[in-house]
Amino acid sequence: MVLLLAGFVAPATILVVLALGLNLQWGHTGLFNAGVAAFVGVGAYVFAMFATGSVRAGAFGSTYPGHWGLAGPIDLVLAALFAMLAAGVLGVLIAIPTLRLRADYLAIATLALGEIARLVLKNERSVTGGDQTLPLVPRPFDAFVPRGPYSDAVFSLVAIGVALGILFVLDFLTRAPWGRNLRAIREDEEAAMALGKDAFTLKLSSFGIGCAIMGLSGALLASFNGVITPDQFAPAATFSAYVVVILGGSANNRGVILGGYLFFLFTWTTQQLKGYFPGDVTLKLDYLNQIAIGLLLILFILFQPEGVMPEPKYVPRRKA
Amino acid sequence: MADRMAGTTDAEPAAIPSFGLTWLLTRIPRWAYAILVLIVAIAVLWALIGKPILQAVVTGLAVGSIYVLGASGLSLTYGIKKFANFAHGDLMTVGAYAAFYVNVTLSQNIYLGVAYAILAVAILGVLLELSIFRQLEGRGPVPALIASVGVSLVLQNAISALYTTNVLYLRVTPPQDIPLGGTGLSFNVVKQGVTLVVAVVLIVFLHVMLRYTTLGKAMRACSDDMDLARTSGIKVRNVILWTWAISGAFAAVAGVLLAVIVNVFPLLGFFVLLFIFAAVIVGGIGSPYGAMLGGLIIGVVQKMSNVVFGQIQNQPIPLSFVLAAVLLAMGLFGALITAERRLRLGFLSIAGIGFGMVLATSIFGWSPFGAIRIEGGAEYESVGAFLVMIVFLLLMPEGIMGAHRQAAGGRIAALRGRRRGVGVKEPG
Repeated sequence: MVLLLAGFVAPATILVVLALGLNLQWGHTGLFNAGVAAFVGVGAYVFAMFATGSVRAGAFGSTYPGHWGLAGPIDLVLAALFAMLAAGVLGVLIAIPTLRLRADYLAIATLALGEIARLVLKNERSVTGGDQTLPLVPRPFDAFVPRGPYSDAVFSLVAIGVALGILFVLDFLTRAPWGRNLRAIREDEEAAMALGKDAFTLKLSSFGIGCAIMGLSGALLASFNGVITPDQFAPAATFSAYVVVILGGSANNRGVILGGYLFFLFTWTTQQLKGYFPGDVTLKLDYLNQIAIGLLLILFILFQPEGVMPEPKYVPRRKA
Repeated sequence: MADRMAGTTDAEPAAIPSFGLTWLLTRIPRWAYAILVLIVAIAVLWALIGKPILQAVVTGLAVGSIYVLGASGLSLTYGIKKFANFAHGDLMTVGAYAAFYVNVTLSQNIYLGVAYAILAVAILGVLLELSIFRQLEGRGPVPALIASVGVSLVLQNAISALYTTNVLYLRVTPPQDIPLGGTGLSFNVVKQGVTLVVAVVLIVFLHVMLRYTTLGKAMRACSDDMDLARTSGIKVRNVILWTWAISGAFAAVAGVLLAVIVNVFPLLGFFVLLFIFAAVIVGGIGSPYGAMLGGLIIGVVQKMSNVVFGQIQNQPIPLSFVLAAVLLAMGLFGALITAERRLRLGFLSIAGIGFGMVLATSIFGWSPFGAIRIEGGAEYESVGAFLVMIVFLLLMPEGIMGAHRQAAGGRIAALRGRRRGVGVKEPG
């Protein structure tokens, strides 16, 4: 039972980390980033390339050339930091020109850039392995616990630790003046600028930090699955992250965590149900699951746009 | 902010010189300039690569004419509802499947299939407006956009659940390609001829309707200023429903044409959605002729990128620079309008030339990264089109035929007004 739970908690927590990053961009700052999947993908690939080191036998007996001339795999924590750095820097580079655009133009621009990133991951086979997948990505503590249900449990603890760390940092940041400025920009950018806030720099930093967190979730995903393919990072992945944030409650970090687990419980239950239905229904369960997700998105936007846990009203602490 | 409609907040002109280019370029309309850039690019690439480029232009025009139909429908709803409809591609898919149902399942004529598809998608569009998008009025562009993402997920997966993800074929056999005597090029009457003709006919129809009928005038009025239209006694809600119906009908035709060229599968429309957005943005939101030119430009750029990226290994230096030059030249016109965009063009040029140099040198193995092979090759055909779209978003978000500047007394007046710091108040 505990082991079954571990198989659920680990991927759900990875989704929660992703949603926390998106919540900073969309919930707190109101930036509609439609290229989420690309940042997760870049994080996953950078982590995987650093963590697997140089020449090794890939799928189908092929070998991959050295990744940036590394002799061997590097420390996983360092690799995860590189993944965050890569996703964050890419996010800032993309944001500098596009953040000045209107919200819906920003969505189109980031969707296009995300698609370009996916095409590069898919086609530059000598670097990423392309469609042949990038296998053998290690998990933390692989040396002590072989891959299996027990390793899932260990990984769950690691992921929960990471998620709590991110939550702690984000709670601090969003309560600080920085976070209040972000929400001021979200509500009325011109008013915030009139009060002397540098809206562009604030949005840029929020976007960059959000992308770095997405990169970290990509690193966790690569490590947990052990194998990554470019098509995992298609636009559909972006939209499930949005469902989590909107379901849980935009700009409410705890709500987003609840939303992440609820959403994953729903998807996971669909997967578990597959065994109990005849074959032709099983094939359609995935589609029905996606239809239900789409309907949830529409219904929440229509009737409960603030989500399950609405944004808390921040009251500044009174000085004694 | 005066430039809200154009998508950016522009600073007043500063001391960034335009080298007299503003004077020169204000003598040419924006659309003519974009076509000129494209023709020069085709000529240069023809000299560098040869015939494949011309074949790419022919196929690009055909694919582009499908984007034209998608883009003009999307542009109509975008103009009136003021949000980017991410489900538009899936409306096209629904049209393709509706035609498949009549054409294959019921074994009827394809023309009957097209009629059924038009009816089905038009009704679907109206139902979407009534059930979802009407409720989201007045909440800004993003909630409606997110709801349209939800609609897109529902439609895609409903189709997958009903028809599986297998690739299906309409009972239409396109004739063989006809070689064009002696030129080494070929032409397909159905895949290239019919699509182009249908697109032109429908765009002319749309133009006549928008220009001369009461409904068309009402649609333009609603697109310009919804409140003013309402106070002038236009039944705004009915106009919006008609807009959805017409947009859906165009999407259905585009979907069927796409199904003839490619085939039928659940992600058919979603895959071309970004190209359609690109066409809308290049053309300028709310202008059917703009959507037409934008669609053709995006189609040609896409198919040319296919050839260019396929050949980039052979002639890295000229091709990477042609690529960078075309992108920058496309945005040059828009960049001259304000100082801030000029500054942005400056940054982009440095980045573009730097990228071109890195690309060119690394393929030859001179770069610090060692020799990089561009392995994707022709797989990157969409990258060129997306980059053109992003350049337009940054430097000319009003597109090549965006209507709102003409409304304020012509483009030149708008430019001069802005230069004097007068600014032209735009709707939005």
